[in-house]
Amino acid sequence: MDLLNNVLAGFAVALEPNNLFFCFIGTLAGTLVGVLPGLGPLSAIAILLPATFYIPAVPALIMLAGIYYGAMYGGSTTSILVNIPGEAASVVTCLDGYQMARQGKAGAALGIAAIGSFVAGTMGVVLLMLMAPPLARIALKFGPPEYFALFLMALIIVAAMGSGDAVAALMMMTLGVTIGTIGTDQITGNPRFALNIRELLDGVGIAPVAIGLFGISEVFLNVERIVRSDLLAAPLRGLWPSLQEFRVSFLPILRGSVLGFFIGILPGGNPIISSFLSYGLEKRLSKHPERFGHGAIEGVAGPESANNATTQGAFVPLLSLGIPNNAVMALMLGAFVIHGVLPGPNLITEKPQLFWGVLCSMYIGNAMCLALNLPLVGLWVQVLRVPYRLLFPTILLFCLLGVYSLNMSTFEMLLVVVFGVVGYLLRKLEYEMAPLILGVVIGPMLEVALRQSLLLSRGRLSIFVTRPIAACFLAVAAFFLIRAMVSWVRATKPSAEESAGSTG
Amino acid sequence: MGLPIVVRSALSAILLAGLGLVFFIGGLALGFGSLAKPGDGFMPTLAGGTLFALSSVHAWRRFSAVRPAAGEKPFWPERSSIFRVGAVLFSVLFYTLAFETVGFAVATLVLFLILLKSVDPVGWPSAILISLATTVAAFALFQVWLQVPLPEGWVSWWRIAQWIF
Repeated sequence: MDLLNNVLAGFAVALEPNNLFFCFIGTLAGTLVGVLPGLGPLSAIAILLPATFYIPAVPALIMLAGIYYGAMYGGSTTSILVNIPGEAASVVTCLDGYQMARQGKAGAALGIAAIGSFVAGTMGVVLLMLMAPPLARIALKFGPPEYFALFLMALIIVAAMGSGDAVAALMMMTLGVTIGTIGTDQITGNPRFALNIRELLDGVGIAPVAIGLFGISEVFLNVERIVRSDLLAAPLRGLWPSLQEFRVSFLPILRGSVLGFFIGILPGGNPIISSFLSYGLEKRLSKHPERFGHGAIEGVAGPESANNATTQGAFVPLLSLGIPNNAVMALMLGAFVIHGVLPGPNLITEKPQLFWGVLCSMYIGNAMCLALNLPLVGLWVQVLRVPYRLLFPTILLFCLLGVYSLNMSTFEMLLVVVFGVVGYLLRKLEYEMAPLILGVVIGPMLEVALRQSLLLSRGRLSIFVTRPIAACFLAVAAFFLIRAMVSWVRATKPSAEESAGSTG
Repeated sequence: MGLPIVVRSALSAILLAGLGLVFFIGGLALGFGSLAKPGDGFMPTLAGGTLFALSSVHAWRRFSAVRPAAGEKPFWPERSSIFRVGAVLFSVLFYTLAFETVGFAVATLVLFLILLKSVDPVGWPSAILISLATTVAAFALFQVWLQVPLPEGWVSWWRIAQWIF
């Protein structure tokens, strides 16, 4: 009953005209960035982060959340119609979606992708509503040692689960934590590494780092080559899948939704992983796996549902524990902080309107995405024709003016450029950005929790192993760390032998 | 083609190891404190030290793996890439450094003109039109709607736009 009342109150907040408007703007912007290759939800949220400073917290968070899940819808449209994944999580949709389009079934593919996303989004919101409050109640019992262990676990899992070199990912995580130490010490109030620069006393803000690493560096990477694509969109007929197609897609949608949601909860879990896992699962469960890659509708339904559910799942640790488990959630945490709200176990009791309002807006936003994506599919294909040479100057302007608008500081604009160059070089050298931004965001919280724990225990490190919850988190962190190190050592061995062979 | 990727990666790791060392020493200078009473430099020392250690391991590993690799990706995909990236970097640096002195309107117009004419050039009429339109649109969005006080700088002709809105 309590849940029902909260949900009703949440819908009352989400249905306020102002919130509906920003929900629409978020889903529209999300669909747009999902459609446009070279601009993902991460860059879009980073660029729009400063703009949210000027609107109240609830509509700001509703809008940013809308960008995230809206991008998942938009990404599928271009994957299916033109074989261009507008968003990384939609790469797998190209495999069968585009083949379906070539067979004249583009409408059915788009329809099932949108319906699957809607079902997954709805299931995700319901699961989120059911899981976040009890998790938050558990988290209320956490003290500094538990939080330190949780932060450390999140950082290590994100670094260890990355796609590249584990040591390089840990380096990025540590670099982020190191950057996070710049500014006033939160416990003693003394300045650290501020170099007598007023702006640095507050630390290196999340917005300049995120906008530089994801917005500016993306432009640098994209202007390296001039790519002009002649779009040959597949012909589009009816958008409603047949009864048989619905029947075949029903279970993949359900499986994708559940799998995606739980992948989203895990640290490091992201829509790319869930869509690929769902594709693999459907192929394995199929009686005709040979159809996959040649236009199997399950290959669209499962992954599209999974990537959408993941975006909802990712909100569970953020809203209930205050832990961002991927780079997008780290930026969402930044948005909370900009508005003076700290997500975590107290959010539900202290700011119920915000918590339930944002949650319920996701349901409305999913319906908006459905409405935006199916009838307007032709428009989104036309958007792809906007040349990048006209788009990137606007992106740069938004990045620079956006960060200026936060504190009217040209120093922060300079920081954006510096982090843009750093991000560009690091990405060229195949370093991962997710552990870096998470380090910047979580680092200061990790430090406070660690120092408070040590003050509490008078310097005894045993506090982290004598408290069961903290010990469990640390055990999980150690497991992932050891696993990553073992794989790293194994990966190192052959190259060492090869180099010995080549020199000897 | 330049340096092989493993060398580039190793050099970047050495730079990061150097950065880690700076924070490690800086942290010690701030005061590490003790486990019972951690000082201001406690976390910078730990984080800087860890960054130094990890980066050193990474650099060593990359150097030990150096060998000629066939078909390795060059750092710049095209000869002109460096020019285009340089043009973008120059224009954003110009914008940042000149923003308060020359003002929002002039800086934005120049930023757009440089970008539209240098990276993947468009014709002058389009470049001028797009630059003007975007400057006015950005002014309307940030100054008028979001109430961000943008620097006026050299010219005040853009007050006309303020008057219009």
